[in-house]
Amino acid sequence: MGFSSQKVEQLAFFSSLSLTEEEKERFAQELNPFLKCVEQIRQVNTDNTQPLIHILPNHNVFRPDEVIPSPGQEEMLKNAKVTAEGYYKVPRIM
Amino acid sequence: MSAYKLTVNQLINKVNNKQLSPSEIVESILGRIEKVDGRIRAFITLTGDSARNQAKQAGNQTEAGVLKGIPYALKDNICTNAVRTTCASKMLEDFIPNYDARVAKKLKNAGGILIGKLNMDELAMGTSTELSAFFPTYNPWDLTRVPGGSSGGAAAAVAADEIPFALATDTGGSIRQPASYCGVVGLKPTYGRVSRWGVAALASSLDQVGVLAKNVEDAAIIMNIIAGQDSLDSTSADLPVPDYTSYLGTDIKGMKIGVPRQFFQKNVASEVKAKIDQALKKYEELGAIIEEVSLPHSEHALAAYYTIASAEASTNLARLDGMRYGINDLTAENIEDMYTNNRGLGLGPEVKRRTLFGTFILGSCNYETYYLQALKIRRLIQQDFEQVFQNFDLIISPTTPTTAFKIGSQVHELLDLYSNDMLTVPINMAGLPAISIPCGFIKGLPIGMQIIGKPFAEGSIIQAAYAFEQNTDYHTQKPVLGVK
Repeated sequence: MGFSSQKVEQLAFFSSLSLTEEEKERFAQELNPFLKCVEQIRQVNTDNTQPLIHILPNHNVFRPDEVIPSPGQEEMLKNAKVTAEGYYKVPRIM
Repeated sequence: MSAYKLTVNQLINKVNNKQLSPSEIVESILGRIEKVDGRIRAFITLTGDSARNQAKQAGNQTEAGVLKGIPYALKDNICTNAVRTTCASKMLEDFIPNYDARVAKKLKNAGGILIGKLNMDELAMGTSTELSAFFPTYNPWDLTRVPGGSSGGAAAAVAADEIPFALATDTGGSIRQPASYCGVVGLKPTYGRVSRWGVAALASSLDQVGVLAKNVEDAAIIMNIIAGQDSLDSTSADLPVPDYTSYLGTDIKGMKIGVPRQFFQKNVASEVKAKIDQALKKYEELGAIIEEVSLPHSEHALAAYYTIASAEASTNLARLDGMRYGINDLTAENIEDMYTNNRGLGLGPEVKRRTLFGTFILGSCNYETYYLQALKIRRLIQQDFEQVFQNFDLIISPTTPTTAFKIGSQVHELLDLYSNDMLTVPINMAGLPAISIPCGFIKGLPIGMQIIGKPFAEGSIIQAAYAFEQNTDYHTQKPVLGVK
């Protein structure tokens, strides 16, 4: 399987990423040798091997349910480019 | 001697003995940065005014923490309250966090003084700091070369005496590789040893916060401050933290060191191999037992790493949509366009590339073939290490296959750029602690030796690294920057 600019366009759609035509071409070209390099992992015998998702054998971590001060609404909205009446403002959704 | 040249330990002593005041130290550091950073370009943001104020206050305090008046800097993916934290990305160019990352808070509480935020490859993706969205950082040993990455700003700043120490992150080698290229000490603790809360995630199962310092002793001092469980980071380990400085100066006689033959293959420059051989001889002189070992699956580590790291990054970075913070294209007519436009505008080429690749990997057709397979290889890599550590205390290898490369020489050759991490990536895959310490120079450029330990055995690493340092003088050599 290889990357074409159509394939890149499809992946960009799933990634919520707008790309220029030039970028689509470029990424298609760049990702092919990269994928070829990654392909080597398919040759490794992993029969009877469990995936290692996480290094630590941690399970649930509990902490006391204590109220700790947190930044207020105004503070949390400070980094947004547009807000309205104490909310984040976005274009029409429906 | 000017204060900026001193180590953390020397500065602590000078402050305690009242030979230097916090204000004198901060002025010396800011003066040094003013003199040299025009050429090194390690800093994205400087916090000179607040540093001066803090130093003044610290000077008036009789009681204070271990780091009273000691300046430090942070890689710009570590959140700092009221100080811009950009991750070297256009997306976050004006992002000002309203909280400190746990590690930033710990340094602050210990009396440390934040001097500024350091350059990096955008969102920690890269090995040269050329992929910063703002500007590249230059290697103090040769300004035509890269400092390594992604923590290139941190390593260059420490090497150029712009800061006594810095904190940074290491996902696949981002602390150790630049430490090797810049001739400084870089310690990546065990995954879970240090809280990641408030640190911008790249690949959550691999990221770890660590230290860049001028010597091993300083790294131990800083580890004492930053290590430990954090109730806000559920992946931080609930294990006691030893006093890392207690390992300094203890005998290494009888210590068993494994040398993995897979880490000395054809991609590693012969001059680099020679330097490591020399270092191993030194260890033998000091009474350590050196034997060759095998880590057979490490040859697949790089491919498996980029599969896992890209997959995790593509999901982690979905949060960068420009709504709550970041670039926002206000012309978009609907919310989907807003998301896609903002991400298209704000993210750089490497971030887009890895996002696309990660999305590909996690697609339903590829999930088992690549992602699950990579996770299984990760298990095999971890088992290789476990097996070696049944009989050995430490593993030693080169940190990097070569010395620092020329700026611009690899930026178009992705696979070359990624292969700079081939000796550091296996350690992150297994979650182990490792340090890079200077072990020589090749044509005037520093090179690092990597010492890898068992999980949570940072103490043994510090012990062995310190023993080497005490018997060599590589760590005391400084780049000539043409200014006094």
